[in-house]
This record gives sequence, structure tokens and C-alpha cells, in this order.
Amino acid sequence: RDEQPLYHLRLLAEACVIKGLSLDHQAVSAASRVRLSERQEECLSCYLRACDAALLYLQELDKTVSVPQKGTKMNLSLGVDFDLGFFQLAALQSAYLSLLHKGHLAQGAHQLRRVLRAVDSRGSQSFRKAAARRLAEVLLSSVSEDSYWDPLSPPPLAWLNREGAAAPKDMLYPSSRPPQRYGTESVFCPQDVVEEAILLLLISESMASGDAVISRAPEHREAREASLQDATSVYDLLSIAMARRGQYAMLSEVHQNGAWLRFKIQCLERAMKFSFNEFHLWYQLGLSLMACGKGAGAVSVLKECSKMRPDDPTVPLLAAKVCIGQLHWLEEGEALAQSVVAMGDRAAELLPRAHLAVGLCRSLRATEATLKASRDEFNRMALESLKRAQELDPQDPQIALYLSLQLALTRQVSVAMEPLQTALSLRGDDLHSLHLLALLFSAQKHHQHALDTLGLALSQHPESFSLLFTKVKLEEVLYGPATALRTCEDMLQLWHSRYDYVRTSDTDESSSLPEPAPLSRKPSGLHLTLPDFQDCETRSQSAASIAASRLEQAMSEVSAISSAHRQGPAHIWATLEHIWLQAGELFMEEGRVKEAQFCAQEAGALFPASHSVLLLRGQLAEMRGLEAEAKTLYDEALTIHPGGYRILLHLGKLLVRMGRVSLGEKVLRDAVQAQSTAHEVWSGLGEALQSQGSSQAPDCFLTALELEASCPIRPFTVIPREL
Amino acid sequence: MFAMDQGVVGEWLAEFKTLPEAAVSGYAASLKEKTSLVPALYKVIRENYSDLLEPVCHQLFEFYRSGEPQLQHFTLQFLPELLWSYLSVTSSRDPHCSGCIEALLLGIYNLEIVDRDGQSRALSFTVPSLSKPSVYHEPSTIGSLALTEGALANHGLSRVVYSGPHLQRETFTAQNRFQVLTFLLLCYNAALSYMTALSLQSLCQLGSRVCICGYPRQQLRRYKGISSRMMVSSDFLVQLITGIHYALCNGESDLGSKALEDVLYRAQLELFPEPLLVGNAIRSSQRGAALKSNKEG
Repeated sequence: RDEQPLYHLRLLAEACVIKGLSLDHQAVSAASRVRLSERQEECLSCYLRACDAALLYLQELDKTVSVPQKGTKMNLSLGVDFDLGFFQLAALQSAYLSLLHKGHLAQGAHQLRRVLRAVDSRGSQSFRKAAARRLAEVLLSSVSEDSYWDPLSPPPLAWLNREGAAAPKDMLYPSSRPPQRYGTESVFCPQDVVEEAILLLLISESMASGDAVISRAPEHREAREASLQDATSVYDLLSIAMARRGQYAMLSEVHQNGAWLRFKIQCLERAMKFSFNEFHLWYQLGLSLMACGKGAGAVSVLKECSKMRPDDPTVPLLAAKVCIGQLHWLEEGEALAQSVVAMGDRAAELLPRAHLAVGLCRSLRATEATLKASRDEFNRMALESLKRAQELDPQDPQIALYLSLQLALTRQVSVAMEPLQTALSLRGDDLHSLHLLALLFSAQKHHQHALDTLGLALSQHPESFSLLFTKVKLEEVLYGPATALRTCEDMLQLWHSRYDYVRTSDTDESSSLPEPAPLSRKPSGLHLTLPDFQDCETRSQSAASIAASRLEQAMSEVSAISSAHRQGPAHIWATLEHIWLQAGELFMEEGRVKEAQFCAQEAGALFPASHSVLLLRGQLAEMRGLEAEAKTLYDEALTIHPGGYRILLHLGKLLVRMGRVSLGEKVLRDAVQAQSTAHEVWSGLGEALQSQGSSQAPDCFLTALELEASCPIRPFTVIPREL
Repeated sequence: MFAMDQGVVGEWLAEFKTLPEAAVSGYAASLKEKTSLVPALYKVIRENYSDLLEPVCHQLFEFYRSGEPQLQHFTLQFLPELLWSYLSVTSSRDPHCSGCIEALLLGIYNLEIVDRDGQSRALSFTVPSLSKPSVYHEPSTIGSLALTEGALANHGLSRVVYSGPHLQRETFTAQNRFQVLTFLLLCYNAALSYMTALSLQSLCQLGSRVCICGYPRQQLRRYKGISSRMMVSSDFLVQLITGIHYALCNGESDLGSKALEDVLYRAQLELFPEPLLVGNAIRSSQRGAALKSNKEG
């Protein structure tokens, strides 16, 4: 009784599709246009009926099997039927294939959705896998966000009209017995093209990974290759979809799984050569790790890729970029970049970039070197690489910039101007080039020029804190601490408007918000220049103290905010700490110990174990005559940051003043070792030696004088050296 | 520029000004019939110095501001050409003649970053999950959790912001330039299905030129315009690739695949992982499709 309708359904599906196919073939032969389109319509209606009947057949078949029968023998014998025959597959696919083939995307997509909305049955799995992928492909390549319609609605009329249809075909040819479809109540229904594509790809992949449990047998080789190809195309589509939404962290997880699958198959088939797919998948994994900031993982995967394709210069350079910027693995980075240099002309346009990478690594290693000899050697080699890079590509503004920076770092200030001019002529509004220009002017003691340059740089990069810190220093020299404090105040406001954002509760780190989004509207209550505020609070005070108390006001308000949500990226909080410390120093300069202490306290609230805060507190203790307390604070700072030359400088000078001259001298020598281009350190050491009557003192003073003559307002190292 | 084109543009400028509000949507639909208008407008934008540029930009902005989708799409179709015009002028540092294009671009940007009530807009989407039933599946039939699904389970059905909120911008600076341009391309990409072939071609040209100007590859492409290198950002290239992908699959396979190669070329030189990732994926899926069609054919 049950078998008959089942049998019927299958016959019906196959008969319909055969009729459709033959009509399709007839349509090729010439006939009148009206006849032709009539025939096409009839053909399509056959395909649609065939598809519904085939789906229903598979669902019904599933039911008969899942009802427990006598023993497993029955199941096994029926299991053979789950392999779809040619006509069954044709019945399922013909409708959407023919629509898509004609370029009727909306109707094709609609039919694919109808097919996929039908409840899954064991027989339809492999077919569903392909159909889901196909629909995802159509959505990602041909449906833009604004033209998207959700899976439960018919295609928009405008689109149907464009395809020459008045209504979706399933409405024109309703099925007498439609297959069972998934419910629509309280289930997830995509509202956006990427959402739907990802959902479909997940479904497709869940079936693909089921297939991937593949036998070792050599005769299944072709099947293995096919399943690899399937998996690759799913991962490719997932990459396209997720990158559109900036979801690189998720993508890296996806690729990791893909790579794992690859690895398993690789183990099964040791002799398999690295195919295109092989490299492609590992490369994509490396790129996705890099894109989401997982540096160490990216480097190791990219190095593997490089082994598979040793002639590709991009891969090792990408790894070098991560090593230099994010990981600070300078030796590793240099080795990777050197491998590209070794390719010579085969590296083509990437050769100059490889020299640049080598130069940057060496320059950074010079900065970190503790021995003068090795530092000089690294500096020399860095310059060599950078010059080579510029010879190879004189049009690259970045190379010109870093060549100039390298010269500046070794205090060849006037020579540094030349490549910098090149850099600026190639890219006149570049942040780092303009900043370096200002620093070079300041090193030549043209402070007004430097400040003018900064003004220009800030007009193009108004939110650069690094530029603003340089501005503060220049203003301090040119106009005194009160003016500089006003800039600190601006910086606090800027920090506030940029980083005081409300983190939505459902986003976590991996949601990869690129940067914390700024608020569009400033919350009320932080208008620092309100006149009534001036009137009632600070009526009798001098201009400088007005600025100061406003600053305090700003500071406490900002700190109230900051304690509320402190989970943002560390550099944001480091910036705020730096502003407080800068303000503290300026207050100290003005002799305003109380305000300076307040700043130190606020900075300390952000990073309790910060050596910079301890240093400032030590200086303040010194100002108040508390030498013992100051020494303790400097000692603490040193335990946290043993190589900090500014700490060593202050500690050394304090020791000398306390009468412990020889210990002070030793500490100052350490400071010289740590930072040989800091003139304050040399003059400090000179004073210590002088007080002991040493004949070396004049040399130290001379060195200090010489260095001071080429000293920029902030160290050249504030310019980041990155690819 | 021919007098005829000038006439068409002049007529277009005059007609919209006198249009009563009630007639706007009818007018929007009728724009398609003015076949010589769109090419004439392209000419105006390309020949930067034309006196017509300023009124044209102004009217394109009025179209956008009207809120009528067809008029907005009309303006958006010129976006790639406008971006190219703006970028080429910026790189040649001839600031006086790009003022009205800048204003138009910033105007569209400032309209798009807010919703109807003037509140900042944040674009978000839901991460799908197989562990919850959907219109396409029932968790129980999926069986063991798929590999990828396992990885995504933590994100399942959570909403993730992918663009915004953005700040209003009154001027372009070096700092905000690519943030604004990237967002504009995002808006363009959202409307890709409504774009004409001419606009898609212009997008592919924009992609190629921005990426190869000043590099050795420029000779290969025999493009003789600007020879200075233009700055790009990684996100900007990702948006470019998204648009180029659409062009590639919808009638512009030649220009599209050239543009894709050019953007990938530049992404390699800049060592940007994001555009490389998407571009490789697109290239590989095209390759997969070609293999398949070979087999089928």
C-alpha cells in the first residue's frame, strides 16, 4: 500500500524531467518566437514538477527507512537507493540550473531557496551540499545588499520584470503535492545577503566534512580530490563573505579547520604533491591569521607556505612585516627579508621592499643594542640596506622616509633632509614624513619652523597624539609651560571624544571592531570652556591657574569614565597615561607640585606598576626635598624597567647630590650605556666626574654639548619603524 | 565636449529645478529614457575643468538628498568616476579644481552615516549558527557538529557591528580620506545590482588605475594618464575588490579580471593581508568554476 505511491512519485519525477529535457532540446531547433517561448514555459513547468516530486519522493523514502523494520537487512538493501540516479538528480537540479543558465538570477535563486527549504532527507544530502553552495555563490556574486530579499518572500517585482517574468514560476505552476518544508515560526531567517550566504556555507560544509571521512584505498583517490575541491570552494566563498563583514578572526578559525582537514588527508596520502589547492589553503590561513592580528601563528604558517612555493617573494615578506611590526622578532624578520633579497631579480618589484625590511630590522636592532660597537655596526648596515632600497626604487616614499630617519637617528641631521624632501615630494601629506621634518627642524633648533610644520601636519592628521606630544614639547620651549598645558587639555578632550565609547555588551574581542568606535555626540558635561564654570569657580585666579583647574576638571571627569570600562586595547590607555604624565611634568616645571601630584595619581590609577609614573613621583618627591623617598621610587622604577635611561639619570644625579658620588657615577655610566645619544646623561655624568675632580669631565661636557646641538625636541625613535 | 552634450546636460540641470515635488518619482523613472544624458555626464566629470562640473555635482547631490532610491542610484552610478577624479587631482596636488567633487563626496558620506532621524548609523549583521533552527535546516539533522560550526558556535546568532558609527566630516584630511572613501565604496557596493554596465566598467578602471599608477605594471596596461603613485588603504582595496567581483560575474569579465589582478598586484606590494585574502578567494573560486564548466562541457 505504501510502496505504490512511492514508486509513482519517482516515476512522476523522472517522467517530468525527461519531458522537460526533450522540450529543451527541441527548443534549439528553429520555430516561431511565440512557439519557442511557449515551449520554454512548458519545459520549465515540467522541471518544477519534477523537482517537487523528486523531493517528496526522497522524503517519503526516508520515512519508510527510519521506521524500524525487521532487522537491519532491510535498511541496507534500501540504502542503495540513497545514491541518486542520473534522472533523479536531473529532476532535482534542472529547474534552477536552467533558470540560472538563462541568466534569470532572481528566479534561479528563488528556486534554489525552494529546494533548500524542503526538509532534508538522507537521499538528498549530497545534492543539498552542492545546491547550498550554488545559492551562496549566486548571492555573493550577483546580489548586492540593497537588492536583497529574504528567503521567505518572492523576488521583487522589478527584478522579475527585468527577467521578463510577471510572477515567480512556482506561483504560476503550483504543485499538487509539495514536499514538506522547514517551519518558519521562531527560526532564524537571514535578513542580509552575507548572513544567508554564511548560513548556507555552514550547512554545505557540515555535509562536506561528513564526506571527508574517506577511506585510504587508492581507488578512492578521485573522490578525495573531489572532496578537497569542494571544501576549497566552500572556504573561498566563506572568505569572500566574512571579509565583507571584516570578520577576519572568525575566518582564521574557519581556515584553521580547513587546514586541519587538509592535514588529515595529507596524512592519508603522503605521496601527494603540493597542488594548487594545498598552497592556496595554507596561504589563506596565514593571511587570515595575519589579518586578525594572530602574529605568531601567521608567521609559522607563512613560513610553511614559503617552503611550498620558494619562488614567491610575497610570502616571506608578509611574514617579515608581522615580525617587524607586531611581534618585534627582529632577527627572524631580517632572515625572512634576506631570503627575498637573495632571490635577486626574481623578487622583481618586491626587491626594494625586501631591502627596506632588512634595513628596518637592522635599524631597530641598533636602537636595542647595548654595546656601542654592535650598535654602530647595525646602524651602518641599516643605512646600507636603505640606500640600496632607494637606489632600486627611488619613487617609493616609504623607503625615502626611512632612509632619512636612519640618518637622523645617527644624528646626520642636515644629510637627512635630502631623502626626506624626496619623500615629501612623493607624498606631501604623509604623517611620519611631516613629523620627521618637524623633529629635524627642532634638532637644528629652528623651533618656530618645527612648530609651523607641526601645524601643517596636524591640519592633515588632527587626531595624531604623537604629533600633539611633539607640539607640547615645542610650545614648552617657545612659549612656556602654560601654553603647553593648554595643548594637554586639548589632548584630553580629543582622547575623550575619540575613545569614550559605549561598548555594546554583545561584542567581544573576536568581533574585531577595528578601532573602538567614537561616539557621534559628545556626552554633556565636559565642556571645559563654559563661561559659567570660569565665573564661579576661578574668578580670582590667574590665567595659568584657570587653565590648570580646567585641566584638573577634565582630568577627573575623564578618569571617572576610564575606571568604568577599562577593557579597551592597551595602547589607548597608554596614551591617556602619557598625557597625564606630560601634564604632570609641565606642572612640575611651573613649580605647581600639588597639580603635578594629582596628575601622577591619575596616571597611576591607570597603570599602578608603571615605571614612568614612579619616575614622575620620584621627581616630585625630590622637589619637596624628600630625597630618601625619591630614591626608593627610582629604585622601584628601575626594577620594573632596568634599562630606562631617564630613571638612571635621575637616580644617578640624586645619588651624587646625596654625596654617594661613586655609586652615582656608576649609575650614570649605565645611563650612558643605555642611551648614548642623550646629552642630559652625558652632562650628568660630567658633573659627577667633575665633583670628584676627574679629568674626564670636560670630555663628557663636550660630548653633551655636541649631542645637544643635534638633539631633536623628542627622540627620533617616536617615529614608528614598520613595513 | 560637444555642444550637443552640453545641451543635454543643460536641459537636465534646468528640468529638475522646476520640477514640482509630486512629480519627482515619475521623473526618476523617466531618467532611464534619456540615453545620451549619462555618457554626457561622464564627460563632464572626466573633463574636470568644464564649467558644468559645479552645477552637475550640485544637482547630483540634490538627487542623493531627495531620498528617492532611483535618484540616489542615479548619483551613485557616477561614484567610481568621481572617486577617480578626486584621487587623481589629489595626487597631482592641484587642489583648486576638485572642490565641488570633494563637496559632493563628503555630502553623500555625511548623509549615509546617519539614519532617518539623524542618529549615527552602525551597520551590523547576525552571525548565523547551525545550533539554532533556521529556514534551511534543523539542528538535529546536521548530526555531529561540523568543524567550522564548532569554531563559530561561540559567535552563534550574535550581532556584530561591521561599520560605524562614523563621524561627520566637513573636510578631507590625509587622516580621514580613506576612511570616507572606503565608506562611500561600501555604499556603492550595497547598490551594485542597480548599477549600469558603464558604471561597472568605470569601477574596474578605477581599481586598476589607483593600483598601478606609478608602478612598472602601468606600462603593461598601457595607461598613459597620471604617473604618480597613489596612496591606498587596505580596507579601501577590500571594498574595491568586492565591487570588482560583482562586475567580474555580471558581464564585465575582461575588465573585471584585469582589475582584480591589478588590485592583487598592489596588495602584494603593500603587503596587505586582507585584500590578498579576498582576492585570492575570488580568483580561486573563479578557477574552480572554470574547472567545473570544463568538465560539464
